[in-house]
Amino acid sequence: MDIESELSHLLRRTEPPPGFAERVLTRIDVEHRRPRRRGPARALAAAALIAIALGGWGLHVTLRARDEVMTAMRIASQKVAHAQREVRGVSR
Amino acid sequence: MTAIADAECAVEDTLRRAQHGDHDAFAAIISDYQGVVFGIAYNFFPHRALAEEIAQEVFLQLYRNIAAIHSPPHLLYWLRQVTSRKCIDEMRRSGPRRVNLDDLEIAVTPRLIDPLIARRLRELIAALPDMQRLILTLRYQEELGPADISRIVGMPENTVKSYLHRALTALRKEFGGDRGH
Repeated sequence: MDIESELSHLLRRTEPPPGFAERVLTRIDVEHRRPRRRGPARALAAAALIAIALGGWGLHVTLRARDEVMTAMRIASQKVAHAQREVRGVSR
Repeated sequence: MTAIADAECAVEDTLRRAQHGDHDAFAAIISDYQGVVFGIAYNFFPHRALAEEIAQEVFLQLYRNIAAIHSPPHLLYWLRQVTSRKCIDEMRRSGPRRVNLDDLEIAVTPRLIDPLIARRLRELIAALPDMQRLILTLRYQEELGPADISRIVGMPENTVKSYLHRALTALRKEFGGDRGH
């Protein structure tokens, strides 16, 4: 038996299990914090986050508007009270 | 241009693009060379999970150092050298590893007449001293001569020749003696 010939066939280049390149690239992305394109699932998640953010911004705007209305009402009531005092002073 | 020259230009182009941050180009490099890297690690250990772990580490290291690679031949040399050194480092770190015979996956090819012979040969290779096994892998998997192997493993050429001779002698003796039963 030609052992060197057997060794050439036995000790040949061997492919790793399927998905090897993907696993390496995932580790690279994690270590270097690089976002990767992941297709529809990732796009849906991003859309959900945007929707939540917009909803949150909408709530922020609503609350701010409410605060401004309350401030305006407070100022208006102060002016009304002042006007009433003036009227009482004139009527005496 | 010849087909070989075209192929070399394509690899050179892929390497340049990877060096400029092209992720797809780096993925192509992994696909092109994973057989070399995983093969060296698997023929050295042979344990698929450990071989993959080492192979992943090699490509991660390549990613960090790809700017230092100046040509496709240099890339191949670098991959062989780093993989070899990681195999030796792992062996030194973890100590002698008992080979699980169930892990010895022997692919039956048309060339191999008897898979039992192939399995026995695998067992004998796994029992060789580490450097003999590594040098044997580089010689027969990568078809390298002693001079190239000596540069990769950082050992004098005559030492490489001596290790190779010892490994082949041991295999011929054990295998020939085995078949005599």
